[in-house]
Amino acid sequence: MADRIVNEMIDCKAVIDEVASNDSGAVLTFAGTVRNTNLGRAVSAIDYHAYESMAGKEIEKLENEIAERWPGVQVRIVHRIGRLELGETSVFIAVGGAHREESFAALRHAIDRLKEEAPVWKREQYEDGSEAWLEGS
Amino acid sequence: MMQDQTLRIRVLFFAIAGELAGESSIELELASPATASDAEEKLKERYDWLGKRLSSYRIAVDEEFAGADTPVRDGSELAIIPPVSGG
Repeated sequence: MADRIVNEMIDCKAVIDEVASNDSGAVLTFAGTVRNTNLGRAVSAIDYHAYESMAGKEIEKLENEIAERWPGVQVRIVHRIGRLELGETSVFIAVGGAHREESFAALRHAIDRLKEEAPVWKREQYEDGSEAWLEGS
Repeated sequence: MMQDQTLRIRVLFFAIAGELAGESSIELELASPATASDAEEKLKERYDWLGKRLSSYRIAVDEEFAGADTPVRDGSELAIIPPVSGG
């Protein structure tokens, strides 16, 4: 099974392959990407930091929680850390399920909970050369 | 049976907390037995910035989110977790 916290570009195809099977009638994916503005400031890059060992465990817990809540749904979540340029994928989630309704619900739950629970932080780099830690959001 | 009166834990500061502490980790000694709350009190004495922020921060003990009563043991790793911003 692939690592849940990675330092390099996420292999999205490999993540999809882990959830897709002949039982799946729906395979959904979500990619979180680095945007060029936040709170009115021009962002040039984001440095992601994590409490790596704990973040991996929290993601695993979340995957298990989803598998219990939506039986038959499989989810895999990978978060990238380190410096990411604009447009690069920071988080990638793949869900495989028999039907689309439960798969959409599971995917929505996965990204929402990830953003609340995983000990990961953004340090934004701005166009003007300054940088700052984000607290929340 | 011999009893050790103090325990030593490692405290990790992440993100803005690391910047404010000026270092990413320290060793902390506590009287045994101790809870996460005891560690917080000791840290607040040492770091002025921490007191007003702790209400919005979370604490993890040995890689699990902890409550005030969560015990800390000799060798435990206690993490100061500012509001997360991953995704």
